Amino acid sequence: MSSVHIQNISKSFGKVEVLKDISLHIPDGEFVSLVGPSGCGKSTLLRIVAGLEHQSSGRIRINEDVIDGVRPSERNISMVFQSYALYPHLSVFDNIAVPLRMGRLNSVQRLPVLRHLLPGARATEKSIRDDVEEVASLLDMKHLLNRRPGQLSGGQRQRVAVGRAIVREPHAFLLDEPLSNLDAKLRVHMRTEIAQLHRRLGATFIYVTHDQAEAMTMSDRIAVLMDGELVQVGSPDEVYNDPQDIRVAEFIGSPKINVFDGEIRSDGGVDLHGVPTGMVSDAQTGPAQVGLRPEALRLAPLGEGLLNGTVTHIENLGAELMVHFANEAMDRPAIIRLDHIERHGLDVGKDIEIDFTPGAVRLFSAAGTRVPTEEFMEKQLVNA
Amino acid sequence: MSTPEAIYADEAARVSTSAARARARYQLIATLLSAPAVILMFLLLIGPVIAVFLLSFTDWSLGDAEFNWVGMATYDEMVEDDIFWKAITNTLIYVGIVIPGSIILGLGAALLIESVTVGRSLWRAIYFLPVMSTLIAMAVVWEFMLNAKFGMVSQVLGFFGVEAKSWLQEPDTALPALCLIAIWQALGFNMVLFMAGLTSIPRELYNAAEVDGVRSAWDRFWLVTWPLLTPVTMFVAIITAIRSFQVFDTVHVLTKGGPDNASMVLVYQIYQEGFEFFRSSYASALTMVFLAFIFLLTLVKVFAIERKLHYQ
Repeated sequence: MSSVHIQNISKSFGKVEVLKDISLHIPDGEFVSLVGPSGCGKSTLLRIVAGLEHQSSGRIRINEDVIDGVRPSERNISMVFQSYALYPHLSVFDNIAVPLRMGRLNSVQRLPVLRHLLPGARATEKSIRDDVEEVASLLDMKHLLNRRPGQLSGGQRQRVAVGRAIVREPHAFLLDEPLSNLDAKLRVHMRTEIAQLHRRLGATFIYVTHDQAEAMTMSDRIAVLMDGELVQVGSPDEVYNDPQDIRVAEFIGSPKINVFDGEIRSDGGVDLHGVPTGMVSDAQTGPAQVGLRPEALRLAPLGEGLLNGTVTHIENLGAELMVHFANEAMDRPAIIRLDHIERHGLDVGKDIEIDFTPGAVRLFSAAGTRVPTEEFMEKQLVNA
Repeated sequence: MSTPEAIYADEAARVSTSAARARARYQLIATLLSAPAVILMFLLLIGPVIAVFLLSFTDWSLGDAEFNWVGMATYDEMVEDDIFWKAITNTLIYVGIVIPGSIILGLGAALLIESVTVGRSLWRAIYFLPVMSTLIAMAVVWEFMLNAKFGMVSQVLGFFGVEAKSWLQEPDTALPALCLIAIWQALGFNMVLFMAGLTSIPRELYNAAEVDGVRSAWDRFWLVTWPLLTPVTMFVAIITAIRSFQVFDTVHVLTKGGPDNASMVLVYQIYQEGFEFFRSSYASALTMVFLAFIFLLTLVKVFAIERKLHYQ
């Protein structure tokens, strides 16, 4: 197993720059997700690592070896494709055996009839059979080995594609949106399976997805790509709780973070719709954006809230409620996540007041970059 | 009076009769709409085939006022006829050379044209030109090219020390020369079909093959291209076979089946017997053999292509 170093990778298709100076170090055995909206360049980056696409500038290293210009077949990297890319005319067994046959047999031994005549080939074929069957039992699909891909369900095909990837021992596994063709229920199930597979193999995984939930639930680290730029890299906790850019804050987390118009006053205090939030900032005074996660908002008793609004919609998810509310100062409704027990006869059209702890505030400049904040009391003490 | 069950049964009967009436009307309309096509097919295709079939059991010659039923006599004569067997053998040899020749070269041309980035449509046009040109006219051109004295083929081969000869007049080379022309003509058509087949192969399969360790174009071809082209190849083979069985125009223009029946093929024999010797009954019997071959190929097409060769 190996570490992957992505160094200053840029890529342009004609005049369109799809990747801008991306650097990312992935240590041995780590599960890294490249996540971002469609068109952000994440699949292109993965294909550059695989060698299926060539970077305009920058370097890729595996361990200490620079692999630029090395063909994909020589890079010893496995890949699971979004469409699975199974060979439709081959059985499941033969599909999984392809990488082994390419690696262990020479081109004479691969000839269809001769394969069974050459003594050396027969021994190798036996070792291939053993390895394929081991992978099949690992993935619980021994009974499918004789079928063709056309006779399999989407989930089973996905499993075959994973089997073909893990049957040899590559430097790294690249997965390009492997779950996006599955139905929602199966997707959640396969999430767990792939995470467990990673733990069992201890291998380096690079996983591309546009689904932030997949990235959050499976990864050691998440790399968020936006418009060809690597905006933030960090553990799921860091990316969720400490987003460095408003785009990261809005992309990670469901439902989306609430963003309110704010202002940094000349004395450093941070206001939300003109109401002090209890936070201060050293940043330049002027308009800013205040981010608050739905679970950071609470209902407040009447007269004690920092914000007020009218309930516009309630989503009942059983264990929890998503309450949408708006007031005339907001250009779109905000969402509060409440435990079901807190409903208290809430209903559409009802006026509510909202409260939050100052520490939950994530402040962003008008341009969208994160602005450091401190709680007001601490600031006072420091100054005194 | 009437129990609920009786009312229900009555209602059910009424519904089913009106459903039956609707179905009958639907069928009538369907029959009426397909009638023109069916009538024309009987008049122009199935009717004549039946007439030819019946004719093959008579001794009728073109222009005769009357005929006698002779049973299988015509077929007995055919089995004894050396020229018939020569024609069958030549036709099978011709088909056997033209199918692999035009498939391998057509696929090769398609792969080569797909691999170039510049001038793709120019190459495609060049290779497709023979398909669009009239074969009779092109046959005349070939006649000049294959001429012993001033033909281009003889001159080029002469450059390599091969003795010049009248390729179309020699028993050894007449049939191969006709095969060559057929391959030249069919190549472009097959190439276009293969190019369509190639574009339908998902790019990701080639990517997967590359990642799986496929290094050479040879392995890539056998792992992905060839298997995924199988349905197209079967189709091309059948189409080429049917067209090759029907070979007539080049034979008629260039060799007239000669020399000494060395290039006699089935359809040309049908033509000779029917329209030069006016032995219509014998020509009819030959036609039945020809139709049997075509029917066989159609069956192969139906079973092999439409049943088996779809992966998804």
